[in-house]
Amino acid sequence: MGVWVWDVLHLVVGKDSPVCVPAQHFSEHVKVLQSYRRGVAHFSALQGHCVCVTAQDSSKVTPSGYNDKSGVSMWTYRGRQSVSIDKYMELVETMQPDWYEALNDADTDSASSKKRVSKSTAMSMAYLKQCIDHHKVAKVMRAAVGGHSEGDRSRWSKSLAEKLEDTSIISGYALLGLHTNGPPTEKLEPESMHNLIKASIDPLPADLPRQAAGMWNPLTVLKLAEHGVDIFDSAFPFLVTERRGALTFPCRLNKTLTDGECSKNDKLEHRNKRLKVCEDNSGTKMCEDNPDTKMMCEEKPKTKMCEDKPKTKMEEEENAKKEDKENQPIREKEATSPYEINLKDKSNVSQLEPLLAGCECYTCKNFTRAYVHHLANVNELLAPVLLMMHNLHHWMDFFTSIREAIKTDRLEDLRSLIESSVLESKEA
Amino acid sequence: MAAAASTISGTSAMASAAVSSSSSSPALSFRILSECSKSKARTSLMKLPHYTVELPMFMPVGTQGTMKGLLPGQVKDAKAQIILGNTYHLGTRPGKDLLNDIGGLHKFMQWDRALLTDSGGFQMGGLFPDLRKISLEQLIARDAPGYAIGGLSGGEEKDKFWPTVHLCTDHLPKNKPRYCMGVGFAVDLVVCCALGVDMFDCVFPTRTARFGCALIDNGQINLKARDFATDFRPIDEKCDCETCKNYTRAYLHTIVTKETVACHLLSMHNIAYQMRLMKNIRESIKEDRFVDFVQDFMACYYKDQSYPQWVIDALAAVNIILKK
Repeated sequence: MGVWVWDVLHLVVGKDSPVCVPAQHFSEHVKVLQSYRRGVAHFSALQGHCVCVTAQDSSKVTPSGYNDKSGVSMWTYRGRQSVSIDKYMELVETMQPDWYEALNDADTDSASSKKRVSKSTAMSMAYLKQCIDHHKVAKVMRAAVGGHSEGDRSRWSKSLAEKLEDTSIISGYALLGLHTNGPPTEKLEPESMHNLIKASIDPLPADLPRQAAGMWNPLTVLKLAEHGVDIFDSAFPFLVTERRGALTFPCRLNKTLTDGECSKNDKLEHRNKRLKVCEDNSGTKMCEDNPDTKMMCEEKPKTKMCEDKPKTKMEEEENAKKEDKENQPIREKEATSPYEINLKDKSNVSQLEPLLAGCECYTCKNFTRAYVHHLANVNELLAPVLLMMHNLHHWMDFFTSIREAIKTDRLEDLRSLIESSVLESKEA
Repeated sequence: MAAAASTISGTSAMASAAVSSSSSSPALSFRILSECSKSKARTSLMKLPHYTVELPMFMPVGTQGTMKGLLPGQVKDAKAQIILGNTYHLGTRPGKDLLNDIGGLHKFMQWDRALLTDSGGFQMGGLFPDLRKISLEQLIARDAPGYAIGGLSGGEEKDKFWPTVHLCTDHLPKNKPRYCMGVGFAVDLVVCCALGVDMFDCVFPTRTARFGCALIDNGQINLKARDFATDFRPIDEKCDCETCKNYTRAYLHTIVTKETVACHLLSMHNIAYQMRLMKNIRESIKEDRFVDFVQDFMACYYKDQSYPQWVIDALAAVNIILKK
């Protein structure tokens, strides 16, 4: 699924790195998985990877306003499917994940009304109880919801912390309800998230991991990490890939800087004058997941090739069309961010250097910006393949850095390194 | 230099310049290894600047300096010896100057086996025997390193197609490679090999992949079909491509025509299928059992031995009688 074949994935991440599989994409394949019997990882040729099942795909906007008493709406190629708790648990069981997100009504964002938020918390609480009652296979990740209301989020998390359920079946907490997935998540800046994240996370027990799926930009990721979020996905590099961008933001802190590294360092696109970026040659190994620190959850983004409109009510179609617009034309929007360069830009036409000088990814070691620009320019399928390889590699490097920075108490340095490069490129 | 352009006469010289991205001197040497004792089929080695290829062979088409989203390593895994670029397209974008700056198309796309760039276009579509003969004489007089039989893939009727190829291979010098452009269906490949053609190219295997079709020995299957929803076998149990080694028909059924990766997976299989077919043809010629191979292949492809008349006629013209 997504843009890659399994062997391409393994050129970027380890053969056992965790992958995130949204239940949404398999909600119409329950029967197939039931007769297959070996779980979704094996079915997708990803056996050996541990699997996290989330309800929705964080890289696609989830159309708002379709959750009701009968269940949570999931959007498949055939249109909308209302997934009840029984159906969800049946699906999770056949997918055989290592851990899964409790079914939830996290259909809230900054624009949600008070009424919607209280409905969301009420429904999510009911689902959570039912998930635990149904418990059979994997460990459940409890949803932390409450929209953009600090009070609701804090109350919710406190109530979870007080629960006296058998904690051996709880694998952690999923931070939800801050966005309804897809590209708009990128716009959530760290300042606006600060109090909300704090309200959700602070009351939670420290000994279980917290997961925050979504297309968060790097500075917001840092903010989440700072507050103790442990697990993220690769939706952001996918978003950048879809608009044919290559991540170039500096993400490595120097340890000991030698003369040789200094000169290499001068070639870096975004060089921070104060902090000095350097290559960490020792830290290029991919995916050394340490359960105590940050884990990287590899999302398998989906690229729609042909559009299936929901075949339900007229009104639904209208709404879905509107929402789909937000999903579909990532490319057409020609959007970009201060974290990346745009490979559709003509300035790359004769650039013989790699996407990012000093990068050790397959794409940078083998191809020039001119080639990737050529591919993007003529709409060849290899453009997103090569870009995603680079972007995911860079994203993994970023998380290696975050782990390192936490261990050495330098998260603040990493943040200002990225902040000043963002500032630089905004000025430029 | 525009080379291998299909012309109205159905034949043109395959100029040496076409075989590598930059060379101007004769860039290929050609040696026949073995010939079928009944038909005109032969196997040979063609030495090119980057790679020595074994003929008859099929060349996948990567018009824009890339192969349908596959990494160079994946194309190699599918056993492709040579891929085709398009001089016209690549000359427009990224352009000749850039390709020169970077050290040629090989380096640009990181492909270290052979590349053939042709100009495409030039289809006027006609099958006039007189013109063809004149053209043949002129071309042979020019002593080109190889010959392209073109202008034949425009959907002309098969019973006009095969006699043209037959005539061309009868008159063209034996010690030069013959290239039949735009031919890619398995049956056409087998028939043309019997008629003595050495090289083929076609977008068919990768194009059909886009629509969810996978090539197998009795034609193709469309993985969109509901029958495959719970079919946990690989596309082809005999196939050793990465797709067949790792993915089931059921999995492919969930993603074909929806996810781009399905296109990569099917392209990989379909290219591997073509390569395996050509390898089987070569081996059967070397072991002088090509006639058996053709008979078995056609019997498997056409259930109930319902062979089309043109296949029967074309093969009969080179002494191969199909099983009834």
